[in-house]
Amino acid sequence: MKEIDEQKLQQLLEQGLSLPDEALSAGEEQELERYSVLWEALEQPVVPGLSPRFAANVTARIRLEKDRKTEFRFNLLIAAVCLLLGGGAIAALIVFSGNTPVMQLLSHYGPILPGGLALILLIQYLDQKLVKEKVRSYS
Amino acid sequence: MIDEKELIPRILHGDMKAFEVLVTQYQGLVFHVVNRIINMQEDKEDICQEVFMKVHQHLRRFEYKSRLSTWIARIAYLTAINYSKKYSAGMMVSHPEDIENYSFTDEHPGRLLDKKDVTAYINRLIAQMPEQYRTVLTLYHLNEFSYQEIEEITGMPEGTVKSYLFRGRKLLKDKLGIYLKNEVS
Repeated sequence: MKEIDEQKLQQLLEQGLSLPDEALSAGEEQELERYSVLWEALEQPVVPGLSPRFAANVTARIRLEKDRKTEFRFNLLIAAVCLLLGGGAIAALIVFSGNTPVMQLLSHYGPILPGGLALILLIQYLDQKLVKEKVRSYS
Repeated sequence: MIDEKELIPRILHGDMKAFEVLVTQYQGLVFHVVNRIINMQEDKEDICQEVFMKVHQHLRRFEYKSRLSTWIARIAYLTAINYSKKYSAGMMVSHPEDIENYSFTDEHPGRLLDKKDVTAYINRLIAQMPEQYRTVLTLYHLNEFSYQEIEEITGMPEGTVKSYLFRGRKLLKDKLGIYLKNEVS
């Protein structure tokens, strides 16, 4: 069968049209029949599909993700406030105190403070990352 | 049928029930697209979830220039293609031009007793076809998208979509014909 005939048959089926039987040769009729069987098969949905609770699982995952983000932002805010208060306190001590034991302690262990804060933030970040992976593996 | 113009603003205002309605409405569409591109059965549901997470995240960007189904199908198509490229690079067939001489590894359908068997056989054949053919056949026949919409979803020019559809159907019809003939004789 020529390609143009095949194209014509496919177009007929696409448009849902039918030709009178006498307009088709026996070969064409057979081809049309095969195409019709194929068309019907192509339009059958694939089973099995998704689980019955799929929509609920998706929304639960989105809620969890939202909560996680909110918690992360809140923790970040707390860390920023701590950083500001800590920084302010150190600045106040430097400005208002002289060579007191507190100042000596600060000048000795001062660099540990930002390091400790960075460590807390790193732990927070890793914790969030782990939670995210766990959420993904459960869903 | 859901009213997108009523549903989308509700979702954007944080109504998760409304989003659940949207997921229920389009999960079949997303599954069909993902199912044809991804071979790993256990990954399909995860990827479908990923698609809807993206839909929820980017819904604000939907501008009503196309049908919502076209927009969601494009996200599903790109997500599945990216996943497929990432995890099964060796399995992707990138040069499907020689489709007329395509050889299937599973050509023997056994006895095609009824319509269900024919559908299962056709689905097995489609699963072995190059990705572009699987995608256009699914989008056109199962999801009932037009040529223009398939172009929008996949980025393939309309002429290419038509060509893949024609050649894919012809190949499947020929394979089906051989076995239908055997059944009769």
